[in-house]
Amino acid sequence: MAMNITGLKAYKEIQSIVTPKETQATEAPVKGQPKEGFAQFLKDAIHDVNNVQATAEDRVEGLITKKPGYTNHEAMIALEKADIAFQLMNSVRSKIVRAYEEILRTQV
Amino acid sequence: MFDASEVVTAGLSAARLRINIIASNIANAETTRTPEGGPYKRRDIVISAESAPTSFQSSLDEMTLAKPQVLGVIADQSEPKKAYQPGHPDADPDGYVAYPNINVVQTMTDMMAATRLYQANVTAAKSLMEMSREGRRISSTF
Repeated sequence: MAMNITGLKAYKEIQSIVTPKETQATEAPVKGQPKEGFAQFLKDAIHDVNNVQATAEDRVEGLITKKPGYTNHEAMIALEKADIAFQLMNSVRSKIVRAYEEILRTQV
Repeated sequence: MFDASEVVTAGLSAARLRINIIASNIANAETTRTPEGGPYKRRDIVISAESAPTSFQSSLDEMTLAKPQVLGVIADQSEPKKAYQPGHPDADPDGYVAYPNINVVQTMTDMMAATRLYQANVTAAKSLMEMSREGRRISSTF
């Protein structure tokens, strides 16, 4: 389901960050050049969620201004999607922050 | 490629359009005059199942998901009902008025079916969203 895609994408991204893929091992490691950072990934995920929310906003706005072609069920489904996408994104974010804090607590 | 929520949305839109058409049919059950001439003609919608366009990864989706798409609204071409009303302005030379060939009782039944169809789609949409929420609960920490 596409409503899960933003979350799913985030999950896959995390997977690729946490567990280095075999394909990456075959690639020549470039030192000093970090690949697309975690911050970028989080930004992208938030951007995706934002897009879903913008769609929902548009649907609701069209509905309340009685634009032709805007229906209540469409608006409601868009709203639900936005809500789920946001919650999913937030869950992933909290999970990541938790992991980061866990690492910070490592005894040196 | 489209997803289940899009299919449900299309289903809801189709059911809604069907109810609109039925409302129009009931409202015009006694309409004897139209801009194009003759009595109002009963309208109906044609829905076709549209499957997802072939994409690289989703041949399974293509098999499972079919989106109802309204192809168009058609006018029933059956003979109008004739009633003998010589004084009516729309009466023909023999004194018969052509009324739309609409069976109001049958149309009401159709409307009930369309309403149930809409409700069924709403239920499907609801459980779809509920599933997404439930899926999030797998992560126990939140």
